[in-house]
Amino acid sequence: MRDSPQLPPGRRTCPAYPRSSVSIRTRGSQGRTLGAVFAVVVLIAARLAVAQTPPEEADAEIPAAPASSTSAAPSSSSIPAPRPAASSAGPSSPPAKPPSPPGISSASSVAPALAPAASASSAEPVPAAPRLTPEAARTVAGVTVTGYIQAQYESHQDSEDQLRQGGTTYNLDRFLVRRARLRIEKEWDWTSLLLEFDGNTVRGASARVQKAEASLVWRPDPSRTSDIPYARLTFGLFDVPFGHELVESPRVRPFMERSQASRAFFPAEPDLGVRLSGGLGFFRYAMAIMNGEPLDVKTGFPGTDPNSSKDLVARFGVDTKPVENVTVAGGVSALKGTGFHAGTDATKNAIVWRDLNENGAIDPGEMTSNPATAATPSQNFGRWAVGADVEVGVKTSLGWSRLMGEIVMANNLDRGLFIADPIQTGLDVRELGYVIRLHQEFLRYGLVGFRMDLYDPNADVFEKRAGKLLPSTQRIRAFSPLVGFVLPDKAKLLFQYDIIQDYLARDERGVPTDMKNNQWTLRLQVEP
Amino acid sequence: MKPAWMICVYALAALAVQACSTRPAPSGLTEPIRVRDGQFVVGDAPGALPPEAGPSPVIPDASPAEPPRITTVDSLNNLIYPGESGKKLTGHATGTSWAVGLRFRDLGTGYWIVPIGVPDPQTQNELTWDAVCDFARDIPPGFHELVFFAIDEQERVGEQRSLPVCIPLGIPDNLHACDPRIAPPAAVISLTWDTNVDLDLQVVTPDGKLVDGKHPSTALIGDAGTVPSSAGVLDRDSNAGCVIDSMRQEDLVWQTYPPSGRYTIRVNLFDSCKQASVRFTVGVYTAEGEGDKRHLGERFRRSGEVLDFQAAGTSQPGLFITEFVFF
Repeated sequence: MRDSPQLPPGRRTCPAYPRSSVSIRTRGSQGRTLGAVFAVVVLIAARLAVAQTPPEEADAEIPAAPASSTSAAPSSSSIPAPRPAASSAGPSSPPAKPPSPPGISSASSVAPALAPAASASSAEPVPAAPRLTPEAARTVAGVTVTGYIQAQYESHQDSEDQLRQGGTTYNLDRFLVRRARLRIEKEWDWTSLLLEFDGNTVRGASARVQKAEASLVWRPDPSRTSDIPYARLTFGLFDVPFGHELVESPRVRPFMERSQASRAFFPAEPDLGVRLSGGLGFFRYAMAIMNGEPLDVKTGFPGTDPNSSKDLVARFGVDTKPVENVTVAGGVSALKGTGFHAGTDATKNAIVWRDLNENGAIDPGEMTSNPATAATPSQNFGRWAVGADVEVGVKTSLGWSRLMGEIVMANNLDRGLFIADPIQTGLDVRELGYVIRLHQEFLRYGLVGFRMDLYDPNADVFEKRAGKLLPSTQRIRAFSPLVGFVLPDKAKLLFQYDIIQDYLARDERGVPTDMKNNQWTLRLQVEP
Repeated sequence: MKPAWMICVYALAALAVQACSTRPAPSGLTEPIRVRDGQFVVGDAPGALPPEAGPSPVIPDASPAEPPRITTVDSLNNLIYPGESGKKLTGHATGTSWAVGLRFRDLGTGYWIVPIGVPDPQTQNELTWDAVCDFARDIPPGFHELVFFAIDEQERVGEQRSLPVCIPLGIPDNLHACDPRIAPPAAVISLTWDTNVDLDLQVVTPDGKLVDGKHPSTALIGDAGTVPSSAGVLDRDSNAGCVIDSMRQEDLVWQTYPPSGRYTIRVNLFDSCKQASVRFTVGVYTAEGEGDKRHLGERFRRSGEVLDFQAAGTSQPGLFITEFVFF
């Protein structure tokens, strides 16, 4: 699945004549309770793991990618969690090979703004190391320049050689440049700067600023820019610090795109705001005040902010290496914000012809007036989300295995797929999404993975059937096997097939059923 | 190393085969009828054919053991214009119905499914249904039959019900194609084109009068402000000023045979509306035959293309097509 120009797999891949539905809100706290329990379990497990970790083990042998991610994301490494999948995408070194020094992997070069630390032991000072390998970075006068290109062919079962109303294409079988990123960063003792550009052809050739971060940094030792800072105050355009997937770099993520729920809540990762993040030992934190309109939102104001209320986002978690060749990271996230329902413009008087008798001609009584109408004011509405995530990595003779799970419950947060607007419907929309994924390195050059994700855009949807109003569902499930070949720190050739199960079509009885909209993607990623 | 490679290769090959074997799911956009909120299914209409015309059979009350059926089909007008949008078809079905299907009996590749609606207390709790339909522009003119059928929870399909409809000719024929008793016009000069541009038909009569969107009649000034019935009349100025109506057709119609002489026919690209080019066809039709067999026959036809830089408003005469002689 991918960030869609063609959302949802139905809507996006929605048929030309989408079904209608009605929704009724019911109150319930099951999801909230479940999320809280999950978060507590994650924290306890992580703490226990840390308690059992011999201090010297943490730095004894740091797998290439995870280690790198610790020290390699000084610009924003203070947020817990997402242990970059880079470790799997770029397989670790074989046992015979000496361990890579910290911060020397492709993952490091574009580790997510909120990239995880390699281990909790990073509180221990580690030797200053070059942040990027010569293969992955070019450093001139202390300015690091990195980048990568993801080009792919994708095929969608619901493609058709037609145009939608408005001119967008039904056909999605195509070659495209999904991401062409160029990243410039510079670290000083007390400040840092990061600028990232993105080019792609998803909706035709386009280029934009993907990240622009200006930071003040407080580190244990200001001269050691690779250490995780106690605090980093960042203004600018950066990834929203919520959950695991959102702050995981697309460069290191083994799967093509984020899960459906993550993309519905956050159509793109970056938003504008201010963030305070940092770490102490295994503990990581990030708090941000943001516009609440990430890039690519389909509510009409991407990258701007139609209301003065800001979204508060916070994430607290851990990142540790409890035993040799085992890593554990996890955290809990929360978002509280304000959505915007746009009002309408005033209109002028108009004459309208209604062909009442459908004869194609103007007959008496068929000309009616549409009186001028006053503008309607815009309104705000509340929205929130809570989430928890955990990732466990185990290194065997085959390579790293990584299991990740994330769950998010939200209210009125969908801004990319089934747009939530309680002002329009009069009902709050309860949303739920989760993802479970496992990927396994095969020696240095192979990669297999499997992901299952679910997104329920409205827990209270109803549908008419045989004259009766019955509870229904709009859930979208996706099962995504993945295979790939990897040239460590050079290139990845990945093939992913997405089996999408939704309720966007109707069967012979008119009952919502799965739409045939599976898809596959073959992607080549090359990095310098 | 080898086993890992082999596993990856096999997995990749298996997934590729699976991926390539999937067939696209048709959306029904190319069908002669498209139903909003409907699901398109490829195939013939299921269900038994309706009985031959004759006295209406006594329809027993519906019971769970019987397959569902359509009881009524309502349409404001059985005339369907090519390209018509938003035509509403409504009706009732027996109480065990879950969905209603419909299609042209003789056109298209499949049928549409719409869910059943709410019970109607005025009809012994039969269930209501409605379908908002769009029709393709290229439906062959003449009579056709829309068939309807109901489907229940067990996917049983009852007897079909049909609705005869008529598609008028693409050029103005006074609905002669749907009612042969109505005489077609005596002559028609028709311009059609394929892109949403402001293209105008220009005809210069033997009297020297220019007929176009601003001067839509062949009537001369001496006619005291009235348009005689014998005058040719331009039916519309399509896409005028780039206000797109998507009709893309203009017709100059004479109800009586036009005065003899040479008629110069031109095509003028008033505004390209940001399109690169437009392909057009000009046709001249005259009435042939007598009585019920009188119909419009094609006398002249020519196609061409105009490019955007040829758009000149009214500053220049349009592209010369022909001089057609009415005898």
